[in-house]
Amino acid sequence: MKGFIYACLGGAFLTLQGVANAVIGEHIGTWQAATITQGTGFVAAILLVWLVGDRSWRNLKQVKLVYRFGGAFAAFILFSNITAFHQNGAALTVSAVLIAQITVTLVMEKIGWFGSAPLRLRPSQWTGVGLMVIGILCLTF
Amino acid sequence: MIMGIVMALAAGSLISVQTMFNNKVNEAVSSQTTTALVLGMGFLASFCMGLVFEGKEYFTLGPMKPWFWFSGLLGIGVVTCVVRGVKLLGPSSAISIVMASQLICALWWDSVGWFGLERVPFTLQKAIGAIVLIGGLILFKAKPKRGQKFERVPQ
Repeated sequence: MKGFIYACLGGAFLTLQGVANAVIGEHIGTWQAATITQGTGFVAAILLVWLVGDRSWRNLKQVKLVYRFGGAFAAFILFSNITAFHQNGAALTVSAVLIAQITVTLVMEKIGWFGSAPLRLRPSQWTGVGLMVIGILCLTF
Repeated sequence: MIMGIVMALAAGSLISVQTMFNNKVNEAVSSQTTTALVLGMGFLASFCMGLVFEGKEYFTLGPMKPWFWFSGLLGIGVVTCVVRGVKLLGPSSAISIVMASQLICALWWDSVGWFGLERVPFTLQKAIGAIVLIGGLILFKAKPKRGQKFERVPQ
């Protein structure tokens, strides 16, 4: 239940962030907007780490080097997103992004990349994924 | 057209890979530290990309409104909630819930016209889309009957 609430809030924050990025981007430019939203977020997050006296960053050494750069993908994601938006508009782009996201996550979890045990899906779960894709298409077009 | 679709698919795939990477970082450090690292990396990468694409012009900012400086707090909300959701539910479940919530919030805010966005009316097609999406999610999440709990194959 807790995980469900976090996931729902995460989605709400993502949409809010999308709106904020679009508005800020119109005023000061896309890359500037990306830099400012992530830069201020970074400063606030560091402040938070310091305030709660969190020392777990010492364990960062145990994390494989590539994994530490996950955040940097944001810039490439943004770039491809903007390019796609200009070429095809919002509807097609949003659905392509979401469908790729759910498919790739599923495939990665299914083959058990990143250490977790491989996931086995029942036929009803595959139907569920199919329905989600249809729902996304219905919502965005 | 095709190039745009490829770009959009690449963006979606990268988001998934990023989620997995962040989850890996979160296995070793707290979610606050993960958030700080992810946003810091995003900041550096956006800064570099901005410089590459715009050169000097990158530094000429348009008119800033005070609330722009607080937009980063949303990023903290995103990373913290998604990382915790993935940790508790596993990637596929968490991501499908995040996506459903994302789309439904967009639908809701569009139809009320909040945040100065243009009002987009709620149509029957959208209602059907939302119901199908949630139905799919429930089907995906539903536990099998008679206690077959072997969803994950032990390695």
